[in-house]
Amino acid sequence: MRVQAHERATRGERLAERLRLQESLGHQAQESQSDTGRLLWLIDQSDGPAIEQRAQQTHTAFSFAGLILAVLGLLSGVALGSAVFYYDGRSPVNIIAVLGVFVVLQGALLLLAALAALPRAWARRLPGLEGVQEALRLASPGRLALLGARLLPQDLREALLAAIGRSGAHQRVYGRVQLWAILRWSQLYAVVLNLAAAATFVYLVSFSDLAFGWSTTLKIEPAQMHRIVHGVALPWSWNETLTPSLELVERSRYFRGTPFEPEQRGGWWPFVLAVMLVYGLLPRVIALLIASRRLQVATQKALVATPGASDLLCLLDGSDHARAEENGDTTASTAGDGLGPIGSGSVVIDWSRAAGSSVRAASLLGFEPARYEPAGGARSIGEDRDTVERIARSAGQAGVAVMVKLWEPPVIETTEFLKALRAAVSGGLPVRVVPVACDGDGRVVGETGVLLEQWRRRVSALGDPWTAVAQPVGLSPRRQEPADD
Amino acid sequence: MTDANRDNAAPVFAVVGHPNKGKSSIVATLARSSTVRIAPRPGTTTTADRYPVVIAGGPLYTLIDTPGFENARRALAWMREHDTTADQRGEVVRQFIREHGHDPAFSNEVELLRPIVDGAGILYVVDGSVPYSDEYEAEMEVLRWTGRPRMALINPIGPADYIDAWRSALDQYFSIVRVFNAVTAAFDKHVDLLRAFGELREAWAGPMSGAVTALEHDRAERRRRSARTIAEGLADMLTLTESRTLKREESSEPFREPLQEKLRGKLRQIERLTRRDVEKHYGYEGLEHDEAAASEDRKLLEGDLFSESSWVLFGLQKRHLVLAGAAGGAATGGVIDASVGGASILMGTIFGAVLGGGLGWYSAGRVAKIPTTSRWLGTAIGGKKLTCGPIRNVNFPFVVLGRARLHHAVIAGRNHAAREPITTNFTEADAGKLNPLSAEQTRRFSRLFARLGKARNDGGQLERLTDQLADAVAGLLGD
Ligand SMILES: Nc1nc2c(ncn2[C@@H]2O[C@H](COP(=O)(O)OP(=O)(O)OP(=O)(O)O)[C@@H](O)[C@H]2O)c(=O)[nH]1
Ligand SMILES: [Mg+2]
Repeated sequence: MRVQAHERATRGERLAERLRLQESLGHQAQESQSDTGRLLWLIDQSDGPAIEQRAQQTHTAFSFAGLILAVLGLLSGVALGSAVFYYDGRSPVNIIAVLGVFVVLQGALLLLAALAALPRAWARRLPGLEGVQEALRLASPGRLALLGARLLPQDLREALLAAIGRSGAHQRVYGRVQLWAILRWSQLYAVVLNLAAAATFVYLVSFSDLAFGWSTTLKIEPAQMHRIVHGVALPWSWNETLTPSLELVERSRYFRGTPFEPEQRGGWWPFVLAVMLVYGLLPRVIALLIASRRLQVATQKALVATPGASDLLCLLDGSDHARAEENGDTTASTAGDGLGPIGSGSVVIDWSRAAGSSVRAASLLGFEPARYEPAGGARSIGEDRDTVERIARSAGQAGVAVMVKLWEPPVIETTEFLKALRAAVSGGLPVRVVPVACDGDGRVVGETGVLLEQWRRRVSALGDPWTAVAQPVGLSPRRQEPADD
Repeated sequence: MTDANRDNAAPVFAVVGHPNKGKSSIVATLARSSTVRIAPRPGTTTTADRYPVVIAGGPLYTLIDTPGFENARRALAWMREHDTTADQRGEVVRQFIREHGHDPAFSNEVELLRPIVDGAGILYVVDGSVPYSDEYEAEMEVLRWTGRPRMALINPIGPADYIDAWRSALDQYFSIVRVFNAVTAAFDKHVDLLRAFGELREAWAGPMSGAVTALEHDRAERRRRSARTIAEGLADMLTLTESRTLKREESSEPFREPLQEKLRGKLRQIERLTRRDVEKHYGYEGLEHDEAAASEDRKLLEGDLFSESSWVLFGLQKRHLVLAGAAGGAATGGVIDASVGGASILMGTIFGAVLGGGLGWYSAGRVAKIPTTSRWLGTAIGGKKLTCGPIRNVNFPFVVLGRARLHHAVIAGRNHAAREPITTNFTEADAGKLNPLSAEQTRRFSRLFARLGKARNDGGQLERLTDQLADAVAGLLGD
């Protein structure tokens, strides 16, 4: 009796402690209004006092990355403007080229960005699109920020990479956050580029004498050209001065190699500027706003999806979870990993006969498994596949415990199995890898510390926050050592 | 390339197995190489690395350290899918390697199978201190598919013993199964293992028995060189002096103590250098040492244990007691003190000295025992010379010799798989492991030591005596 009372007291204390910690961290997250602050809270819940410093670092790293891209955008904008509006008195700036660069090309790039941003569910339905998306993300200028990150000092770089989920762990949760962070950087780059190009243009018009004309190898008559120009100018058709007249279009046609009279053709510039602002800059500003907003939403979603977050919510409500734990309805395998306890109702997978039998699994885990499924070992790959499918059909909500031998190192075969399992069961179902430390006779086998660390590493490299390594079982006679941490 | 062609070359063995079972340790021990990467964490070895075993010039055979199996079951499933007839299985393995050369899921399997299909014999390593389980069967089956000669080595990493279960399972897949502890295996175990390698294949029997001969010869040579080094160290220590010139009117008193301290420092230094040289003879350069702090040494070897007079009084006449005490091994100076009174002092001396780490025979209170003389240098120079040493303590060279024997035993018994610092804080138990000197040996050494001490100004004589001493020491350094 006294033992039980004591256990309950420590459990209560532990809960209170956890609650305090999470509350204060949550408070910090709320206070640091920025996305980066919140992101950090997600990633680093356990870091406690170091968190503020990390938040600061992440913030600095994010700003730095943004700055790098802005500078790059500025340089490329000036370069682009100077190239498109290059005029040395011999042949005028070609309106066709201007339209090509600022309307067609920009539109195409924007479309690609939109493709990259399509939700996963849509992407899956279009064959090949996922691959295209992946390639686009890799090619996006936002990636430049990651390359630029190499210039950062070590700690800043790590903070940045961790914040956008490149560190591997929790990739499932932070994938969208990463995507939108990169897209937002891309848009920032594009906005600055367009601004710089427009500024370059204004500068050239004001301080040098630009001449415009149009010329194409295609068979386009001035009337057709006028219609095209008119079409392009539709968004600002209410303003006459911004739309070139048919007469101007006719006059400014030129043929390469033949002389032209530059002084008459300056009338194009209001139109060109309008094209740059409306087709180049405006969509990018809108895209930037959207990307920023989506980044925020993705961050918040990640917050809710982070293991432990629901725990926290439950604790704050004082609801089931906490009570379940108070009632002692948990086992030695509560992992302190934020996934909550595993208990009866869980499906148990006995990998390579780590437990050996369902009876022994039950005695090691301290609960009767809802189902007991052997896997791995001498069984065939096909049998394992069937097992995974069976479990996926009937796993319920309680989660899966995969019992493994603590004295054997984790190998690709095991992690592949865990991946297949995750792919088959729903995203949020907790999967716990429970290392068994003793052989069939209850003797502890081998050196346990190094390999436990290895199991944790390999499993966390899966990038799946709902799959984690629990405390080993069978280290000492059960029930004497209360649960976790 | 045909098999016959390969047979002309030195045999090659690929050391394979599950991750973290001591593959690299076995390679390090057999190839006697400290450059093989060994670590407690699995996945240490990531590529197949060749280690030619060079003894006395030529490479006798080659070992290949490989990364562990990570995905054997899936590899085997692939091979079974492509199976046709048993004689084609080696070809299926080759095809597996060709098709998965760039597949990260099989990078280890490809890396370790490649040298095997290229003609290497298989040394399959398991850890005999963890339970056998059928999860190993896929990798053993894959090895069987290669069709290459193969043997299994059970390397018990931990203290637990599951060797019998392992042996029964391994017998199903391997023609030869041996227990070989990578870290503690003694020299004769190496030799046995090399002979077993020769049994794997008729064509390898010749080269491997050649390797055994070369290895044994090499061993004797290392021992001989070590004996020579120890003898030279002893000769240096027995003849070492330290001196200093003083002005005529100066008192020598304030200089005695520092001079003696300097001599002791040099003696310790000689012992250290001798040890480093012995370590080099066995292929251990820059070995880390875990020695007791000098102050600890002194405490261990306190006081009049070292009294010269007691040595002279009891030493040679009562040496049977000394020998008996040494053989008894576990007896401590104090116990014997109580039982046989003064007679034990000598034994205590030897024991205490042999047991202690570092060269701390002289406690602070014993410095006067280093003979220190001052001599007029003649009126022209008008000064005097203060000289301390050489040490005449009859016990001293025996202490040095005992310590050197112990150190040699530790180094000669060490394997290259052992990576922890060596310990020269010898214990009573260590001392007990050494055979005590026989009466005959004691006499022979005493004579040599005495003559060495006197021959300090006669280079030729010194050389001859050192040679004789080296022979005598070589007789003491056995396996
Ligand atoms: N005590 C003892 N330890 C050993 C023995 N063999 C290996 N070890 C230890 O076991 C660990 C793994 O040894 P390695 O030789 O690196 O094993 P491996 O099979 O090469 O490992 P990977 O390269 O990671 O696949 C190291 O910490 C070794 O020191 C042994 O015979 N005795
Ligand atoms: Mg290795």
